[in-house]
Amino acid sequence: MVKKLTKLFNNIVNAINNKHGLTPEVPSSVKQESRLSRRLALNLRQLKQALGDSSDIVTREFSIGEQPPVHAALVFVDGLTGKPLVQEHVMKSLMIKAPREIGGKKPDLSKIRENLLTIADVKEERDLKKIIHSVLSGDSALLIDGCPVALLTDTRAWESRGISEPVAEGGVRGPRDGFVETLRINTALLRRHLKSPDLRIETMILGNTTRTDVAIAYVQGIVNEQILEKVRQDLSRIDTDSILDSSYLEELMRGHPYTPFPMYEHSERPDKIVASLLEGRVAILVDGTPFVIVVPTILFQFFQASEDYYTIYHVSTFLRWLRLLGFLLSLYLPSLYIAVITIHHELIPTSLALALAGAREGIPFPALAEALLMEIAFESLREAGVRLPKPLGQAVSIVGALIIGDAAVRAGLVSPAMVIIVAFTGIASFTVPSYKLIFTTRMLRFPMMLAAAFLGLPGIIMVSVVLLAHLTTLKSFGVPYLSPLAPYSGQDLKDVLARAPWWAMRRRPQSLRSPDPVRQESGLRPTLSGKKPNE
Amino acid sequence: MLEDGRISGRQFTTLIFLIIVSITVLQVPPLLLGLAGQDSVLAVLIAVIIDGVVAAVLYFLGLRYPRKTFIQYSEDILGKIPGKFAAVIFIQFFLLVAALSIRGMSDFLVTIMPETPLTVFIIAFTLVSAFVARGGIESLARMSEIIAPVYIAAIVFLMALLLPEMDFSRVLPLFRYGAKPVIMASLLPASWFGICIIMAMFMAYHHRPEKTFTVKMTGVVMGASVLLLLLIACIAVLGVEYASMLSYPVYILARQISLADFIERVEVIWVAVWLLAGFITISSLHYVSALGTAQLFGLREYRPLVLPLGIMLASFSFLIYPNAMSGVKFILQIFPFYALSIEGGLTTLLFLIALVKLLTNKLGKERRR
Repeated sequence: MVKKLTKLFNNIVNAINNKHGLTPEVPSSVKQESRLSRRLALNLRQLKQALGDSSDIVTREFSIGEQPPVHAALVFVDGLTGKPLVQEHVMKSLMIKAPREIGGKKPDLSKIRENLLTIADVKEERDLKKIIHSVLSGDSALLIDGCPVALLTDTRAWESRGISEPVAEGGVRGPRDGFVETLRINTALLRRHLKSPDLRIETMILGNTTRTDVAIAYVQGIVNEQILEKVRQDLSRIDTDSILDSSYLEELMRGHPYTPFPMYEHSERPDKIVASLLEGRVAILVDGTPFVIVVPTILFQFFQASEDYYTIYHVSTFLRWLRLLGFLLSLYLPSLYIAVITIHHELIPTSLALALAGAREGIPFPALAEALLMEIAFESLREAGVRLPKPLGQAVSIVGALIIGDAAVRAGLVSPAMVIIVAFTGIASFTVPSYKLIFTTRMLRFPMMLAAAFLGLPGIIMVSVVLLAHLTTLKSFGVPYLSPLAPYSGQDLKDVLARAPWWAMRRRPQSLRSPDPVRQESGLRPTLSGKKPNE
Repeated sequence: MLEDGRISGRQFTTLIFLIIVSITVLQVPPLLLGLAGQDSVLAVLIAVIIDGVVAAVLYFLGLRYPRKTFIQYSEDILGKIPGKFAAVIFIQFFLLVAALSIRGMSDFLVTIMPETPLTVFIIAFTLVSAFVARGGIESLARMSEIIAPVYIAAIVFLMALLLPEMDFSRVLPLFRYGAKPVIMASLLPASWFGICIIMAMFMAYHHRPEKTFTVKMTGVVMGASVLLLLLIACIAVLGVEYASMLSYPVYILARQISLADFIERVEVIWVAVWLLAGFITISSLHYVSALGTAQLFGLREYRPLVLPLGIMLASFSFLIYPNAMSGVKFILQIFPFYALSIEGGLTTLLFLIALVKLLTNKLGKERRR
């Protein structure tokens, strides 16, 4: 009785599931594992069924040879394939240069492939699904009557943006090329900068609908295999509808889904990515976006600009300290000001305290409200300016900064000191090269200000302790986020708290556990006499 | 596994260092100066030696029972019921010290910010410490690794600025009243240094347990040197009589700094680093009591215990003494004996029984041969 009931129950559940399509369903357009048949007409009908009546899909039917003519068809997507290429090297050779005798009912495929198609990359494919993906990626599929095989000719040539200087990551010195939206060009850029045979590029397709090509690039022998394996695992785990930018991957891959801190570094600069690869990191390139992400990521990477390595190292060191200071100021300055003004009057020298109090005289708000008002105004200005066309953006900043700011002070709504603090905080935040990290500090400033207003300095320290505790729990692909500070590694610190000259950076970062940790031999430091220092 | 983190020797040292400095620097100097005067310096040295003995005992136990905290091995040594009883004593001791630290920090902050009620500080501190404790030992260790250098830098900076104010003739004479008061007074810092029995909890997660003794003593010696420096500075700047009358002489000390009318009010730096260290201490103790409780009851996860223990901790630190005066009395007259009976007494008991067990095992094996 019980068995019967459970069976009945199972049947009902199955029936419901089927009705709602919960069981994995074969896509209606392409049946799985469907292969080509020998008959051209059937193959074309199948392709047509799968691709639909889209206007950009071209099916050109023609015949090869004369005795007897062999029917063939070329399928490609207009706009993704280079028409001159197709005309010159596929159609012309097949229609005009082909010998009269090509094999009749059993055409000689190898002859076509070896003698007629003057295209660099030709592949044979039987699987309909793969053929469709290939066609949609810009290849042309040559279908020949009597052959259950399609010849995929690489005729990809679409209009793409030329290689130009990255907009978000400019620099004075250093290579000026930037990644573009095409994966192939990007991998080529990597190869241009890194001609080592050990540079490996693995490609996979992610996104069930967008079918986006994603490539992992690394240097064999320098990368830590464990990290690489983790990256592969994480990518293969992703089962999503669409990948439109590398940022999708950032949120879908391993790590801490709730942290506000950026856990992935990205760059548009090939030189930066190559430098990361040579440190033992793994780069992930996504087709359709110029932003390449690099893992594992540590916090201090966001303070390193690629230009640091191209200028005098003393200057770079100084700039790094300046950025760290800017980062801390952008996080703490408004809250410290609030704490001092509202709670710890005694902490600042008397003359300064009097000056500040004088400036605040007649202001109707408490310091917290004043600060929040100004911060929100500032953030709105910044946000308003980001996406506006350039000429309009300038107008916003003039109206916002000059007119409103000045008027607010004159009207006695905010004190000039607060304007200085907020403006300086904004400028300080721009010193950090990564705007990703700046977004985070912009946001974290607000809880910090609240804590400062309620608990003063101890409140600020409490929020800092919580932040620090959070940061120390973060790990990126097994590498602690705050390394090399914690866990401490003196050797790595010379590229974090300083920028050591190239002759002193003998080893790759310890935290990445590279199997080949030595970058170069010692004794590279140039001397006056030109001899090695230990000779 | 309850906790699968590992900490390095350096992290072990910095953890112990921060725990010691935060716990001793605030309340100990005035009391110690009152008890031993100029001889406080010697009392601290004696306390370090006492602590060294306890460390050796715990080091032995940690090696004897590798990868086990002493909540776990006290059961192995004493048997199930007495072992659990001992574990409960350790856990409540950690909670008590955590509560004392929270209370001490809050009491001090109330003197700076008199308008804020004590309860607000206690609750806020407990919440923060709960958050940190949930991060686990690796997070704690890394935090200490970052904070310790900042702390040392701040102390060195303050000391350098205090140099012009110091009058070293005040440091002498030593042994004015003979050795006895010194030894009695040394119990006070010893009882606070003794919180380093927390090392028995951390040792199980040290990646090179055989080095624990060295790194632990490095931390203690560093901590004691900071305390010594501050004591000497207190004596040399403020004088014994004045310093022992103050509640927070180190804070007053930092207030003395005034250089060229420009570097003033730097005591805020001292308060900041001291608070940072204090958070490491209370979160370590909080974490250790949660972990210990989980091990006591054989739970798989300690994190759910953190918040309930935090509520206990907050109410405990509120109720522990009614006002600062009775707090002084508690710290001076009750706490040293209570603490030492656990830090010295209970651990030594464990050690002796473990030793006896080890020897009888060896003898038994030899006899069977």
